[in-house]
Amino acid sequence: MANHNEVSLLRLSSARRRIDAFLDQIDDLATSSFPHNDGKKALEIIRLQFVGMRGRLDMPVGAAEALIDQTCLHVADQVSDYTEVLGFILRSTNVRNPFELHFALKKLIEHAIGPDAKLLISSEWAFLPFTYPMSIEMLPDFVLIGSPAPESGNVLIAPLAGHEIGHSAWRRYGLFNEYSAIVAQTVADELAAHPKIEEALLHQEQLEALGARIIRDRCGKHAIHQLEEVFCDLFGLYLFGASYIFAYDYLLAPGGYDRNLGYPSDARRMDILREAALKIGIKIDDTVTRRWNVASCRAEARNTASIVDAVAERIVPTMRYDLFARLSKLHVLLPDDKTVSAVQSAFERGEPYAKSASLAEIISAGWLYLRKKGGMAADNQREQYKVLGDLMLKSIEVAEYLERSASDA
Amino acid sequence: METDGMGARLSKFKIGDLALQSALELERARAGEKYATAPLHDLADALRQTSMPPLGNAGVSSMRPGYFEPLERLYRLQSSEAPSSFDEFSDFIGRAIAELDEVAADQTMPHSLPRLVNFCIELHREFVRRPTAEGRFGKSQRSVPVEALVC
Repeated sequence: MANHNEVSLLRLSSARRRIDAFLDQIDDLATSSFPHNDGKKALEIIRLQFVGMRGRLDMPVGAAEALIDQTCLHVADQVSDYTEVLGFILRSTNVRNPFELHFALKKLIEHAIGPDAKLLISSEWAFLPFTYPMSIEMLPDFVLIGSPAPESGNVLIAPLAGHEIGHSAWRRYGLFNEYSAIVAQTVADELAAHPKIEEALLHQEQLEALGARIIRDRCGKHAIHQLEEVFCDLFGLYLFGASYIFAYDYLLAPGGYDRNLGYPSDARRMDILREAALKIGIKIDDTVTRRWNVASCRAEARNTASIVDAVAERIVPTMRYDLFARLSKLHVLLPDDKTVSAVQSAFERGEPYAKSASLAEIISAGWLYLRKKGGMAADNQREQYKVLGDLMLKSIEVAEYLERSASDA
Repeated sequence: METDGMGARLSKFKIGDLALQSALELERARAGEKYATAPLHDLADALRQTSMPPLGNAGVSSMRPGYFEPLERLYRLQSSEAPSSFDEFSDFIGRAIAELDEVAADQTMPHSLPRLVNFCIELHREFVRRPTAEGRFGKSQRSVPVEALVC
């Protein structure tokens, strides 16, 4: 039977070999043809981190077994998570991706997040709306935007990227820190105002001496997640205007299912978007935002939900005001209604828009045109729908050409 | 570009990772090998910025939402019982930070070194919690939960 030292040696060797295989995979991928430099840069950063991680496997003589095992587990987790990221980076080189979006999205991201922000556009073999992988620890300056593979060429859902960019912005702006204290205080206030709920939660959870603090902590954790999600929705709305709501509706309507306390209910999210659109003068279709289901909450989570929702409700107006003020200060422009109409008119003539328009304006015009045509899903409209996609992509290319020419001049 | 200090980019994952690095450096120190003090210093700072309970009546807390419960579990793991008061819990965190500072600054080894190593390993476990080992097969979510990466 192997002794403990032999087991440690085996586990450390396995972890080293796992990292070596991962590094070999990176080296293979690096020979791919990348349409933009950001993919290659991401591989370089990940490689460097894993080389560093390999060095951490050089344990001193007599190191605690718990440290060896935990480090090996850490390596296994990192290899597992970043294998998915390598797949994402590989798929970002696929010609099915809408590379036409890269310039416009990158500009938007640099504007809203910072000039060092980097972008990877890829597809996911999951029908998820741009939810993976949010902020990646090794790539904090990267925004990774993945659309479901069957939709990888669908420009109309690109506005959902606004939500994903929002997660990067939340982190870059340091908002978790900014809102921590106010969330903690608001939770304490809400619980103090509803002593019966606090009592019920303590009884339900059968918590020990510091139970009240654990209740506060859990409520605070959910509340700050809710705030981040709302922040990302508002961010997407500001960047993409009404097209954000249409894209959201395309993938997620009519909502419902089981309630996750880290998110406001679907119906409430739409209320928040409708109220925000009104504040910044974005015209939206009320019927689209009102016909959403209320997600159901498990009985045991209802008391927590009532506190968490109340906390988020109290903070959202200030957060919304601060976000819109920040984006305005960064000169991030809202879609202009007149330009949207002009782009839509061009589409109706079967032409791409020949002047400069923002990504949000082009996609908003696309949605308005599609809706005017009744959704373009009839058998005899398939070609027309395809043409609309081409018109949007061509208009995006024209805008890029005009902008590049202007900056060259 | 707007950036806040180190605190803005701290996540549970980052703190957990610093804790694991610190455990390694402490073990290197214990074995009489050359060791780096930067992870110990950074971990102490990270805990001060995110996990410091109020010390005394007038103290200011930096405890982030979602941080108390895993740290309270860590207390119970190390003490084999739940803290009987918040002061006890505060002392526990304060003492760990002070010991990290001490090793980082003086490069002297406190008697409690094995306990400090254990604190760091358990902190990594708590802050980078993952699905059960069985969940690795038929994996349906990230090994490291997204929550740990963003807050």
